Amino acid sequence: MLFLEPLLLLAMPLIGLPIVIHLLNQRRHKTSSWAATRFVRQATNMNRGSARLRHWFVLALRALAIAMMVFVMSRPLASRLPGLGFLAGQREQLIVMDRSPSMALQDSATGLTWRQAVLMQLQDHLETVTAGGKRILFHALSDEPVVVQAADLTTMLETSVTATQTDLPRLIENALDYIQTQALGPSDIWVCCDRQRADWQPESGRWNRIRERLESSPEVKLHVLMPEPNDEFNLAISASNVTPVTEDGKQWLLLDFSVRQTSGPIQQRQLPIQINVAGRQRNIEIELVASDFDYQQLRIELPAGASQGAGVIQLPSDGNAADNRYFFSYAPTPPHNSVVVSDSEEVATLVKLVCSTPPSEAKTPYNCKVVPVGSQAEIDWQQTGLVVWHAPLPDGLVAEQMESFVADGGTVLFLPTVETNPQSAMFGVRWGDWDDAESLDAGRSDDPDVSMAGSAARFAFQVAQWRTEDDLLATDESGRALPMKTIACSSRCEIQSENASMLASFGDGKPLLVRAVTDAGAAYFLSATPHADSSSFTDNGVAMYVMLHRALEQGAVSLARNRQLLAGEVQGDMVADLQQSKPLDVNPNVDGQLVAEDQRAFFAGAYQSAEKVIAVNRSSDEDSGQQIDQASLVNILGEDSFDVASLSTGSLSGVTNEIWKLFVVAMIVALLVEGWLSLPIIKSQTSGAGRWRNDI
Amino acid sequence: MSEFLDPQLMNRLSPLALNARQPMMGSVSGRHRSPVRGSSLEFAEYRNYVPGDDLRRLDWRAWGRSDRFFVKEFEADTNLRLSVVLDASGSMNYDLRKPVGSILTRMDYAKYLAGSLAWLASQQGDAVGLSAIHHSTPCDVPPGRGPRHLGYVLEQLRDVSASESADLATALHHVADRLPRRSLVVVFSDLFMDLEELKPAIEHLRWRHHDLAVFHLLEPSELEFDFDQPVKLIDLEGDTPLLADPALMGERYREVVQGYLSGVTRLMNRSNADYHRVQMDKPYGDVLTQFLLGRS
Repeated sequence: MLFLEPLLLLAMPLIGLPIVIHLLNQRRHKTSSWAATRFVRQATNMNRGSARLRHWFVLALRALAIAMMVFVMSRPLASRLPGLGFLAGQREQLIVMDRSPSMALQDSATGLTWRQAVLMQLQDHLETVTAGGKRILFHALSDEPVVVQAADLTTMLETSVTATQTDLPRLIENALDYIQTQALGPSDIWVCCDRQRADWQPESGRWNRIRERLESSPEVKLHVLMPEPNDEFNLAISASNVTPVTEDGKQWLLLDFSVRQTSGPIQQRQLPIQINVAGRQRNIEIELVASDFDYQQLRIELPAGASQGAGVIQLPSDGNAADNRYFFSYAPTPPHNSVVVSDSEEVATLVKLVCSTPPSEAKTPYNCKVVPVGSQAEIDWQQTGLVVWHAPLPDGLVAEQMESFVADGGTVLFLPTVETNPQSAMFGVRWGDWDDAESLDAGRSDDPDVSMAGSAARFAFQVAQWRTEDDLLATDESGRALPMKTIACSSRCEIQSENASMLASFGDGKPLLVRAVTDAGAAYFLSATPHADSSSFTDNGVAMYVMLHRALEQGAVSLARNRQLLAGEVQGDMVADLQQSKPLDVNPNVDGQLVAEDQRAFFAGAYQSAEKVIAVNRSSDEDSGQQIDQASLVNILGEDSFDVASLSTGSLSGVTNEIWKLFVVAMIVALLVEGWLSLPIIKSQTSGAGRWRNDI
Repeated sequence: MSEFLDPQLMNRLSPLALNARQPMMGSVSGRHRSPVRGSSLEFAEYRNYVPGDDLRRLDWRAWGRSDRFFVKEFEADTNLRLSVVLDASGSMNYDLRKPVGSILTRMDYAKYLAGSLAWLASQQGDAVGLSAIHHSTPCDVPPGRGPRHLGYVLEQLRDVSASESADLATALHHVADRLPRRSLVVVFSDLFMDLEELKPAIEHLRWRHHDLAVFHLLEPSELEFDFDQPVKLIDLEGDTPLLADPALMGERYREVVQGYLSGVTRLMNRSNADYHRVQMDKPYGDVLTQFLLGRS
């Protein structure tokens, strides 16, 4: 039990007051001569039973009434969280808020979303424990907390549901960091969230650190407020591969979309779908027979001249309004322009050949321009998606242009030159010394398959490992790995970086290909050149072709006039673009509030500027419907470092409730019973002389 | 006049007679019936003549009418012997809540009753005796007649003082044995004793054909135990003091007293004793009047 005024509990010894008064009363007796002492003795002996018990019961009731009065003055709280500290009112209060779309799941009985319900319950608690206007620190999207008042929790925009996936471990770490750096002392961290597994990220290694910090900080209590499992029917919709095409002189929009049932019983049903694009509305109806439904290449006729724009595809209302809309943008596919900067004719020719050779299904031109070293001014950064830089690392204006190019989404692939300058660096990476195979064969692989793999056997340094999950060397859609084992080289240049992630390495662990850390775009460093006499890239061109075309595809995105972005992952100049763009429609968030310009990166919507059309949507992980269970929670947070309150969306009883009324009732009952027991017993006969028979 | 005699009360009581409820065995002629036939003027009965009867008592007129011999018998009148038994245990020193004049304690109340009764008996020619039951200085005055004897009795009565405990039952046995049969024994006591001990003594007195009257003297406060706060009770007979809380045991006390009084009443009724429970907040004159009227 909690108390808002626990110091008043120091008055609890007052419960001994009735006993003290009783003892004093006993000492204050008067003295009288008495003849009939034999009757007093008999009465006293007979009275050792029920009457004495009754007397002590009366004393106990008086003590109980005083105890109840002390409890009432101490303002007791009943809490569903056993881990709440005794001095709840004196602790710092921090809120970690999950603002992901799944928090908008609605209870059909009350009409409240889980976000509203949990905030109302938490608000009720915080208004109680912070009655003195104590500050509350609110952690959600930003790393720095916002200071709020409990009364504003349910109405402020900072608590509204966004389209952004929540990174709960990061938010909790932020809160712990803040407690530590500000030396807040005893604190309560309230995690308002749901059971969405994507937000919890139980596989993250950060939970180990969080658990250790919580276990080493017993004054910090973590309270998780989660909804009880909800079976409200809910569907989520998303769109992909939005492509404008021209056929028979008409413009069409090809659109793939999928509908996924995230919760509720699965049953066959007809489902109307509404698509709004270019000022037109189209309704279709699909039949949902399973939890997933995919529609390939829905054809929507566009009005003439509407080759670029945005739209929205939406479902009828259901349990969660935040995943019923999906915005999309479209524009003509941009050209795949690339530039190779090199003084090596062999390298320039090879790269130009690869980059200007389109794949069979390509619908746009592939252009590659060769620029000699020192003529970088010829590069049209605005119209280029990929730069292959086979030259000393740039500095000065060129370096700034390149950083801006990458920040806008462009891709750069750096190749080492014969002469390297260990002093110059780009994106935190610098070239080291060359390593020739004639003098060293440490990179030779012991794997006979690798050693004998085709022409690679001619070179000493053979690729042993590479990253297959994603990025340039990822396995293709059919599950086939790139033939990277056929790549080898006879000389390699050392890549010096602390943060770059390795995409491919030789047998001795030295890198072949790394990716530098950038906010947007991509910067790759390849430690070998594609010269035929120093590497097998030309002998086994598949790996080279795929690697360069994937880099080109990434860079081409920056040239596109439309952008399909994930909320919360908008970075770089795109944030400014969003703020300067105009919403295509009045675009309130789920709670009916208008989204501020600087918050557009976190909310779903479609925006248009003079150059680009941008659609912002939630991550597909939010539609997975996978939920974390109690065992996983215990696994990531430990058994003793947190407590969980599973609250019902349909109930608005708070996390904690003041229960002084119960004690008032108990006190009144105790006093009434005490009064009843203290009443003189009604005599069966009239008192006085007439009571005794045979009296004269 | 003794200090225990109120002239006005005596004057008021003088028309009333102290009568015995049964024939008495007196030593001289008096106003009370005797169990034997005598030669008084009051005809009693006829009975058949049996050899040995005094021929002077034959009713010759009845022989003339019926040709049978009858003896004519007359009632015998005698005086009574009044023996006043006064309990002089410490409990008789209990203070009255509402003292009247010089009547301050139960003993005073008893002395006034006893003295007045002795005066009444003496005035109608009966013998008066006194037994004061005290553990160390008992007083025993055999019944006697005449003003001088009455003065002696009253003087002894004045000198009786109550203290410590007294064995009333043993004293009553002694009185029963010592007194001639068919006396009037009047006991003044609070009877705060074991009824199992009292019962044989009462039955002993009745077996000796004494006319037994008992004045059970009680103060209303002893019945009600009407203290309003805890009280330390000093036992008047020297027992250990008691601390009593009326809130705790008041009701139980009244139950005990009620049970005790019922036992006393039952004992007295079975023994055909003339039992009077006296609440001492009443004037003793009223008590005496009621007692005398009950015997008239």
